[in-house]
Amino acid sequence: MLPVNQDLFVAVTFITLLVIVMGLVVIAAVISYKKKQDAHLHQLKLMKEEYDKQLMWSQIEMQEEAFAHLGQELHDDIGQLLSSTKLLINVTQRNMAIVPDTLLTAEATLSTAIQHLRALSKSFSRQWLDQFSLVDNLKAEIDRINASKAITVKFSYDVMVLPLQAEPQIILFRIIQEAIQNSIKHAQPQIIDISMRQSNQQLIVIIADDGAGFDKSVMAKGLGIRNMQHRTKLLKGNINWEVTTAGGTAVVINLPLVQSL
Amino acid sequence: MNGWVYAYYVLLVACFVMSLFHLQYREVRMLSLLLAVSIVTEVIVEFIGTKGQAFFIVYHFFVVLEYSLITIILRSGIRDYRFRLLMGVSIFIFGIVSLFYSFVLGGWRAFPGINITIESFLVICWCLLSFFSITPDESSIFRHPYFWLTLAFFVYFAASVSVNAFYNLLLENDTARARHFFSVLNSLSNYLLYIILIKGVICFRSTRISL
Repeated sequence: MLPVNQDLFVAVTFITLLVIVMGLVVIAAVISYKKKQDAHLHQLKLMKEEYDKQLMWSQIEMQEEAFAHLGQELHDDIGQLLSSTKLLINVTQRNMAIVPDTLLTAEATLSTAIQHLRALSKSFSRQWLDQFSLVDNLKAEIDRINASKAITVKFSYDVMVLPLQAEPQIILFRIIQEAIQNSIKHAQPQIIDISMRQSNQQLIVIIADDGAGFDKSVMAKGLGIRNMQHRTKLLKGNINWEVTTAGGTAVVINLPLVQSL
Repeated sequence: MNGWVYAYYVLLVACFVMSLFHLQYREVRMLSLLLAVSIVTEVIVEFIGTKGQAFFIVYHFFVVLEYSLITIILRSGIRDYRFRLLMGVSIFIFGIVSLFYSFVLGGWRAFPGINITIESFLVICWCLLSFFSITPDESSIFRHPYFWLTLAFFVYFAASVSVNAFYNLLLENDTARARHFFSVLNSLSNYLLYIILIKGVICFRSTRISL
């Protein structure tokens, strides 16, 4: 039998050990939880990214469908009405001994309108986008804008065939379209310069204008800007708005070409 | 009764009252029932004890009820079907074995020390299982009610088992000091039990709000 003091000493020692063991158990439980939580949060993050990606693809699909429908309607409905009107003007012209200049001007204007409408409905058509490369599509789009003679759009590139699949090319095309539209709408430029370069497995697209520019600190995060950001993110790239030395705006898009997008 | 015991009763009742405000959660309902049973047991023990009658019989039944309710509470936080089944089965087995021992082998007038020791070891096992089975989410483990409920039972039963193991040894040498030592440690483990249980009950509400 141990003396009382020694008993107490043993008891206190044992209880201290017990507290340490209990503490270790709790610490082990906390560490185990933390590890599981990290894995769980990582899984959630991946799921969210995948969900966002799917959502964005769906939105783009829907938008493309809407564009295709709109293009079809423009071509079949308004295009037909304009063609009928042109036909009637031609018939009227044939029945007139002296055709007034105003009617000739009206006929020419109508022809131009029909051409523009066809080009516009073509750019909305999904088939048209699938058939041609981004470069060709952009050229056609630029020709359409230049035909208006209101502004001049220049296009330079050093890549003929992009190492991108059709879907990412459509997305990039829509981003560039949005940038051009924003420039025309807000900056009133004389010239828009588009350049497309490939460097270090990166595709760099710059859409610069000589317009009014913008204040970066108060740049409105409108739907168009957010759409461009979301779409660029979907292509795993980044997009920035810069003020050019001439005071205009430059939209700089960087896309990685390492992964087969 | 001394100050230690009064403080223990106050905490027990406070925990019970706190749980009554959170009865919408199944686990808290079980906990309320457990605390109610504990209060009733303490009242009966005080009542019978002052009359000089054998009050240990109350503990024979209390041990079975206590183990059942604690196991049900801990079982709620475990997702693995096999462990849930094992815990469910253990309630019936422990109940039968404990009552058999009390009334056939040990006798109902004796203190159910063996029953309490077995109960403690089983509860400690379930606590260890529960600690490592907490389903992770965005919040910290310290906001999980199961963590606190498990910690409360773990601290209490681990401390009780250890103190009980040394109690008899100390009792043989110096009865007065041993009883005082036991009383202090037992009270401390009880205080910790109810304080941590209150924290667990509060976490049920805060977890639901944060979600």
